[in-house]
Amino acid sequence: MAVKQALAGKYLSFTLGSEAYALEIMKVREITAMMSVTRVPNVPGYFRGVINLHGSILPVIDLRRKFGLAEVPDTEQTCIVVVQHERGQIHHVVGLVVDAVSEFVDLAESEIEATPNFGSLVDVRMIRAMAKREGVVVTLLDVDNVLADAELGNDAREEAA
Amino acid sequence: MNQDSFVRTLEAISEQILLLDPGDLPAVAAVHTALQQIAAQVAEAPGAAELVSASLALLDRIVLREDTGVADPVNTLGTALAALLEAARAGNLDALEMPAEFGPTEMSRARFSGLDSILEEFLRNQITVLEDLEALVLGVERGDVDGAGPALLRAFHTLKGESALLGLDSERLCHRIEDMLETTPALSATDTLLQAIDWLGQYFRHLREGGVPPPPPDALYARIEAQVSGEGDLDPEEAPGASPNAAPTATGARKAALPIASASADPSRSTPTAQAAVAKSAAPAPAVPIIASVSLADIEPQLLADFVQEATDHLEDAEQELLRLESDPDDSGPIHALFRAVHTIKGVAGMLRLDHIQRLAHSGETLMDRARHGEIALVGRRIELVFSTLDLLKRLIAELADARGDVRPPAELGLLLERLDRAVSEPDAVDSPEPMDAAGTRSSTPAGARETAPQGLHLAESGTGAIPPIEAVTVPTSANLGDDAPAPSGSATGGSVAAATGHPHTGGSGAGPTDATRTTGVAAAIKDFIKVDAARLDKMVDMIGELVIAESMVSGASEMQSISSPELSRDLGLLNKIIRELQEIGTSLRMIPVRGTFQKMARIVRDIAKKTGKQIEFVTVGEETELDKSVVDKIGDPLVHMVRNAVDHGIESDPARRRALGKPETGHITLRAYHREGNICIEVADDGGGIDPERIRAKAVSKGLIAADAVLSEQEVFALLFEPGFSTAEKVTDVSGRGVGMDVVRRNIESLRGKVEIQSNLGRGTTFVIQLPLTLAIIDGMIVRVGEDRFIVPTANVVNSFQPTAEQRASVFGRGEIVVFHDQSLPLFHLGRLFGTAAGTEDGLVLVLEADGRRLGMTVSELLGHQQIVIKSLGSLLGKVPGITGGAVLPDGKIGLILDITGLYKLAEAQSPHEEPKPLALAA
Repeated sequence: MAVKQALAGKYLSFTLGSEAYALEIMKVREITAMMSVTRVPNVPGYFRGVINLHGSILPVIDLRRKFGLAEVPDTEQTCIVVVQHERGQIHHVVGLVVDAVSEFVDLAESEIEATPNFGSLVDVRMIRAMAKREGVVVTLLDVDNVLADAELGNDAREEAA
Repeated sequence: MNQDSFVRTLEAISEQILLLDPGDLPAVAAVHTALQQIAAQVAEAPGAAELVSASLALLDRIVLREDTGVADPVNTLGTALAALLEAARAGNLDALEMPAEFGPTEMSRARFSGLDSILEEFLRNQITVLEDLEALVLGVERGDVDGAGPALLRAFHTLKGESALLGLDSERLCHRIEDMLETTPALSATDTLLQAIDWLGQYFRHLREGGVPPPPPDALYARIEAQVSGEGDLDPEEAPGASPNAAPTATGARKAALPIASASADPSRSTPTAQAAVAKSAAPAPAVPIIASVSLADIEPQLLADFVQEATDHLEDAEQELLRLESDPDDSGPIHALFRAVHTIKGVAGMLRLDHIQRLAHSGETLMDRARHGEIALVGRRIELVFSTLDLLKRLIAELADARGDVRPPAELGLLLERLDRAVSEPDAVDSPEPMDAAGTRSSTPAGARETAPQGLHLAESGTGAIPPIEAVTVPTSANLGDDAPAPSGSATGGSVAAATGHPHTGGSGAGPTDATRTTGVAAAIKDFIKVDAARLDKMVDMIGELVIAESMVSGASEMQSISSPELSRDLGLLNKIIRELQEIGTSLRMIPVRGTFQKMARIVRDIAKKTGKQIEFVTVGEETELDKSVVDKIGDPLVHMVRNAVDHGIESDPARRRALGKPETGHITLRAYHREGNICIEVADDGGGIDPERIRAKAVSKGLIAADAVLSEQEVFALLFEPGFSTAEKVTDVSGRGVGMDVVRRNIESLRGKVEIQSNLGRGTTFVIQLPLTLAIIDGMIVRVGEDRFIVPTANVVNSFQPTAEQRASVFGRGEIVVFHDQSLPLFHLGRLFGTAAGTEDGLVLVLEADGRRLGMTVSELLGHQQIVIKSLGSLLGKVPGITGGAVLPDGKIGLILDITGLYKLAEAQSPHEEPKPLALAA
């Protein structure tokens, strides 16, 4: 299937609790250890706040909160995956807090499956597809949709000046 | 020349080059000097001369650390010298051919792919270079000769060197021009120079975009020859290769050469343009004033964007000059500047094949040209026509910015073109051209054309040299000309009359206020500029900001304090000093003068004054004051509002009322920019009716904005004007009021972290003062701790901090808290509550903050420090967060949020008093 073929490729896999997820490698800019986050008032709760990444301010989304998972204290393994997202004129760079980064995987077409119908339990827009690898089910996240959903400021670009 | 010693010299240089370290400047300079002597010796042998001059150009680039475009420049030099040496030994320098590695003469674009990036860079720069050159030439013509001649020579020399290095045909022309300039004063050759510049523009465009190469400028060479041999500027009609022209010409006067040259008869420009037009069958010959559509598809977007930007600037200047001209028709400076601006637009539009713009600029230029030569006067209907031309040009150019594909010029273009052409050709009964006097000179000002007292310029007695001093006198020109005005001799005719009239103050009476700017204009044109991508500049300014912070982190580290080394502390001191300087330079890079914005206001004042029939004198002060570019860009709209209000509502419409108050009938509006306490202030002051606080108060009460018995200071009353919906059109004038869009004004200014204040004196006038930070990137901030969070408060907002006693605090309904500061009751805010983090009542310290003319108290736990802060956005994903302007990296490397005091007010207002403060979601 063409869709699956398009989905085959390199991914970064990570975990949230016992669940395995993966992001397209093309979207990942870097992975950094958990650092001090400055909390920001009056923004949706899944924003942990902002961090100083090489002198720039980077908003950080806690994926556990974003997906409504139970919160756990940070561990040694907790880290921030910095992802970028481009849509037309908009260019976002955001950190995603994950429990632990697992590995870089090369997903073959044969390992990818279509997203099952979860009904209203799961927001399937955030999911590109599922994959099964060495017996483990991995959810392939749609970073663009995760971020588009989190987008707040419409006049963000103007402010960037 | 002595063959042997010449060969020995060459050998010595070869050796020097062999050992040359490009980084060793004295050594490079020594080679340069030696080569220069060689250049003098081989001047007779074209091949050798070319090779040496190319080598010199290469050395220049090595010295300037510019990209030489050659993998190993020293080696290339060595090869060049070896070839030279060989030829010298064989005694046939004349037959010398360029070595292949070097070979500029043989160099073609295709073969030198390695040079492509240099060529591109070179070609990109030439647009501005040629513009500057053109400005210089027009400056010379106008009379700003100081330094312009040498600057021209230098510019053509540089262009020659670069052309030689790149193996471009432009070298030959530049070389000839250079020769010409060495023997002939630029003033007598301006037409030739402009034509040369036009040809170069055409040639460079051909290189940039391909297409038909311009024919070799043989006609120009002939002109240059003639120039050098002392025949002066040829009329292009006489010049070989020129096409016949249709533009109206003044009878046989030499000064007519320029208008023709720049008009359709220009041999170097019109031919390819016309070809292009025919090829596209879209643009008819210039005689037909209708252009169906213009294609943008072939234009490189960057070029187009540059053009839009630059043309917009030029139009601003032009408008300014036109306003000056209107207010003082006897000042002949503006018309030249006006002509120059429109001429430049025409040139670039022609290059980009924007036929509609070129055509309009051309027609406008023709009119101006006749005016600048004194053949017609730009008054009344004609000046309106020029205003319309500038307006339409502005519109057409603005359209380009968002246009894709084809542009369809509006119908009014045709109409305007017709009117322009009519205005040019139709003889005006009143301002018919001055008759020529016996010597062939002509007054540059038509007598009797002035609406004011007839006034002209006459040539003073000492007309010996290039520029006869000019005196402005109030005698009718006709009475004056011919007897006590000796005809300037020789080459100083035509051009110099026009040029000299640009300096009316040399005679003493009419020094124009902007004449200083005019001269600096030329000086500025001589300066070298580099265009830099603004994003890169911002990045650098950002990095400098980081450096400042990193430095303070290092020198502030506790480990550092324990080291007691005088050397270290001295070195740290030095580092600190360097970084501060770097920061200053970095900040200054983004600074531009407010002039452009001020000029726009002059036009607005003029238009509204005309519409409302008021007599208004508009003065600008401090136009050279510099502000961060992004601030300048954003201050335009608020200023338009304020200036418009000042004209419309500030100045009384009845002069009698003004007289009764002992004021001159003519209203005065002053726009002023100046520095105050590290900020920039921009003032709009009028001497109109002033604002009556009682009426505002009454109005605010009727609008329900304030309670009838509210106690407000005068400042607070004035601040009501900025409330949204405070006043609307029909009532405005009653309260001598401003208010239309004033809320927008305040919002815009606050978005620039500025403040606006009103000072008003009933009957005497009103002054709006906008206070702006010098730059948007860096603020002075106070770091405070509130509970476990740290925030930054802009120092500009901080009035005071104090520890209130129990009596100074009070609460209302157990919740609304008040703190008394200097007998003033201020609302007391708790960040913890506003942000829904913590109660925060235990904090003992109160910061008194001010924004929008309102004060408030804010509880904080601790003041941590005070420092320069580089403001950063919180990232595009978060956008604007209520109560927060942005963030900054604190000395410990963590992020601190910068509070937006106005935003805090809004947050507080949003929290309804009837319910518990909503725990606004806080990411924690």
